[in-house]
Order: sequence, then structure tokens, then C-alpha cells
Amino acid sequence: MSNAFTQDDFLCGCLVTDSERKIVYVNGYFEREWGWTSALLLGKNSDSLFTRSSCIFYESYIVPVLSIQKRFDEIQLALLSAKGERIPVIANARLNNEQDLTFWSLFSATKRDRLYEELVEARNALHEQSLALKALSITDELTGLLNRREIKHRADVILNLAKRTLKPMSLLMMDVDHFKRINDNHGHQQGDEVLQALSQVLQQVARDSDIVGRFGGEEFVLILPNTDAACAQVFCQRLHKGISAMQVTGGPITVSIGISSELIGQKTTFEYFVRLADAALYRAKLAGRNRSVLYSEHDSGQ
Amino acid sequence: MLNESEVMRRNNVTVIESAAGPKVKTLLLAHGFGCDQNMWRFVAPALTQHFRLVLFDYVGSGRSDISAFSMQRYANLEGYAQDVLDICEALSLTNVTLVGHSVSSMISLLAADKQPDYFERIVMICPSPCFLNIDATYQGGFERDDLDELLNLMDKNYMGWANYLTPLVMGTGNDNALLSELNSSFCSTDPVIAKTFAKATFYSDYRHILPLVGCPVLVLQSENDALASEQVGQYVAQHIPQASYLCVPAKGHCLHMTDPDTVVESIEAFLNVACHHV
Repeated sequence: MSNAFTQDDFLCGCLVTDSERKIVYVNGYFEREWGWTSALLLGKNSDSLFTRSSCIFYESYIVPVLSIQKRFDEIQLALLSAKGERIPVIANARLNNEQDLTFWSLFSATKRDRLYEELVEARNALHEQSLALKALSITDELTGLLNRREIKHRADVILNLAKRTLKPMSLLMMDVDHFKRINDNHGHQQGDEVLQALSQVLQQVARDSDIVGRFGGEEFVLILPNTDAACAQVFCQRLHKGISAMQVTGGPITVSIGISSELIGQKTTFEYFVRLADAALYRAKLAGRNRSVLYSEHDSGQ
Repeated sequence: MLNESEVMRRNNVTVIESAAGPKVKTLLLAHGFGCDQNMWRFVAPALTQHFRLVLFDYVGSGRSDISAFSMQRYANLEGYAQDVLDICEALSLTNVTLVGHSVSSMISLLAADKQPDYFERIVMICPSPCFLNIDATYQGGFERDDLDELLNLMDKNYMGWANYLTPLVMGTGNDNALLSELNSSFCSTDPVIAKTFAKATFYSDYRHILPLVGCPVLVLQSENDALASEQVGQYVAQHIPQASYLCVPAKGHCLHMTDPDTVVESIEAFLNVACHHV
């Protein structure tokens, strides 16, 4: 019995291309599975076998890898059948320099592709989930502002930057005046609505680079990078104006603000900044509320 | 600002001094999408006859410091241009000729636009300012669907490439090990990073910066390039004020790998260096 078999008997596409990328050989698998007769392919550029996206992949990965390593393994490409259907294939190839020929074997990968498609989807879903969780973990549920932990985290980043660039920064501690009265007279739900409306005003007045967060209860913190005391006071006037224009049950609403503002020393911490602003806030309340007070040495006795 | 050694490490910078001594022009070679500085190995030996070479890997490619990658910075080609500028600044390079392949030819223009003083000339190998088909007046060659499919293909290939095996094949000192290491550094960068680079490369449209280029530019076009057609190359040359255009009778998008001699000679001629090739 003779070995009466040929390359056509293999269950993979065998392809040979020359240095000009011209197809010089295909086995019978091409016709049986993908509808490409030899006559259709011989002499054609191998690009015509692949989708446009696969051509990019070919140029960006396969050409460099082949010319340096002389071979590549297991690269997934999208092949075009004679009818123009997209067929996922796994390609292996070897470059023979002496003959200047590239020997390809192409395996249909329809099932593997389906699995990978599911993996990609699962990974994308996980990615979206983790983004959503991350967003949840840094936001205050009621107001959508940053929560206390995130404020501290971002404040540290800004402080470090300010230390390097020697730019001033300001921190505002804000408290809603007589908030307990709103809660007592109109209920907690109304109180929540006031906090939400207030948060919107804060976000409208703040610039993109500012940090706006709810520190807890009816207390808010704003961090203003690149902002000195004078600018911070102007900013507070805009806040007071915006808040007084709020249309809410139990209104009008007013707030008291303590401002700490200075050039950052190397040892300045977020906590230190908050302490100064808190002292100023205390004085703002003592002075009759509905105002902003800038921290001064005078406050350190508090 | 990063100092010299930080940039050298971050971008895996290689400086090759010229055989002609220290008083020669410097070429800064910028690799394209999907690869690293290994791409230049076929032109580097001949170029060192007349030039000092600076090679590097963009952050996220090859053997750069992956930890320096930032999704925000590298979502646009401007971020990659900043890598180029950082290298120039760290090495105090001036009067450099920037040679960029594919997307790096556009990155080169962005770098030169930001710091014109650093660069004397630019060589663009197989450039495309925009891969998308925009309208009748500009056909980049690809529809959005093609590019979406490319990202999907990248996803699937990265799943098959086990780059976590790399440490196992490093350091054994034989050629096979070297090859494996090359293999891993060549293709198997982090998928998120590679996709970020792909998006910045293939979805962008930087046609508007072409008229702003202030220095002489050489456009090297491949006659048969599936990524950047002759029309695209001509468009680039026509819209850059001081451009010369050379179409090389070659196949494919990697002229510097498939036709290294032509690329070397063209660069030498462009820089008025006498050719002494045997």
C-alpha cells in the first residue's frame, strides 16, 4: 500500500507566501472549507485573505515578529471566505529566509472565538462593575459629592503638589445654619432635600479643579487649589449668594464658612488645615452666622 | 521634571555613538504601534556610520517602565509626544532629526509643534494623520467597524499570550532564552496599555497639525501599504509646508524592516550626508 495522501488531507489551511506577500500555494482545505479555489488565490496578495482589522494586526505584529524571530505562534486573525464571511482562525507561521517563503498553517477557531468572546464580555462586565464600585466607594450617597475618606485622599495629593509648586491653597469648612431647626420643623426628608440642593449649588460655583465633599451631617468641605485668601473670600461671597437664592421648603438657607488659606509649609497636613478652618468656622457662628471668616492667629486660642 | 537617569530608565533609552566620532548629528528613532525599539535593528548599524542614534520605548511598550503608565496621559498622542520631549530634555538634545515610524511620525510632528527648537528635521516613515475614512476628500482607509474589530482582535490575542511566563525564561543565558525574552517584550505588553495605544493611534485625526510643521520633513511612503495608502502619504506631503515625498517600491508598512537600505540612503540624502555604501 502506498502513502496516497497529500497536504489536502490535513484539517487546516496550508498557505505559502513569497517575500512580496504573493500567495504561491494553498492546500485543498481552502476550497473545501472557505470556498477559495487555488485559481482564485494564486498570485494574489495575502492581504486579500484577511479583514481590514487583521491587516493592521498583520502589519503591526506579524511583520516585525516574523522578520526578527522568523516565526510566530497562535495569533488569532479574521479570515475572509470566498463569499466574504468572517472566519476566526488561529495562525502559525515560519519564515524561511533561504527560500524567501513564509509557511502558514491556519486553524479554524470558531469555537475558541466564542469562548473568548464570552471571556471578553465577562471581563468588560467586571471592569464596569469595578468602576461602579469605585464610584460608590468615593461618593457620599445622599448628595453625590465626595465622601470624607476621598476628600482626605485627594487633599493629600493636592497638598503634595502645592508643596512642590509653592502655590497657595485654601480650605473651606461650611456648616448649614440652624439645620436642626429644618429637620425638626419639616422632617428629615426635607432636611435631606436641603442638603441635596445645597450640594448642587456648591458644584455649580466650584471650578473643575476644586474638591467638593460632604464631611458629615450638615458639614461640607471645599478645597481650592491655587487660591489665596483674597480669592477664597470672593469665592465664598459667590457661595453665599448662590445659597441664598435656593428655593427650598424651610428656606431661605444660610451657611457659615471658615476659611484657612496660606502658602503650604513642608509640614502642613490636611488635618492641620481642617483644624484652622474649624476654628474660623466657630468664630463665624459666634459672630452671628451667615458669613465667612478667614482664620487668623486670634483663632488659635479657641 | 524627571532627571536624566529617570527618563533613561523609564523609556529604556539606548544611545549608540557614531563610528564617525562625537561631532555628528543625532537621530532620535521613534518606534510605531505594536512594537518597540527592536524595530530599528536593521537600519541601526548602517545609520551609526554617520549619526549618533537615540532609541527608546514609549512608556507601556517594550522594556519601558510600565509603572509610569497613566491612562490619562497616554490616551492621546500628545502624551507619547511628551515622552519624546522628556528624552530630548533629559539628554539635552538639540538640532535632532526625529525619525518616526507610522504613528510615531505623527507623534514627531506633535513634539516638534510643542518644542520646535529641539528638532532640525523630521523623517516620517509610512505616516497617516488619520486612519478613518472621513469624507470624499479624505479616505484614511478604515471604517470605524474595522477599528472596533481590531480592538476585539487585540483582546483575544492577549488572552492567548501568556506574558506572566516571562520570568521563567529570563536569565538562562542561551540564545533560545534571549529569543523568548524578545518575544515577550515584543508583543506581550499589558493589554490595557496596548489598547490605549491602539485607540490613540487609530481613532485619532491629526490632519490639522500638518500645516503647522515648521521644519523640513521627508515623507517615506511604501508603494503597497495596507495601513497607509499612497493617497494618504501624498496628502501628508501636500499639507506640510516643507515636505519632500519619496515613494519606495516596496510591500507593506514596515519599510525600515523590509527595505532597510533604501531607508538608510534616503535619510542620508535628506540630511546631506555623503553615502559610502559598498
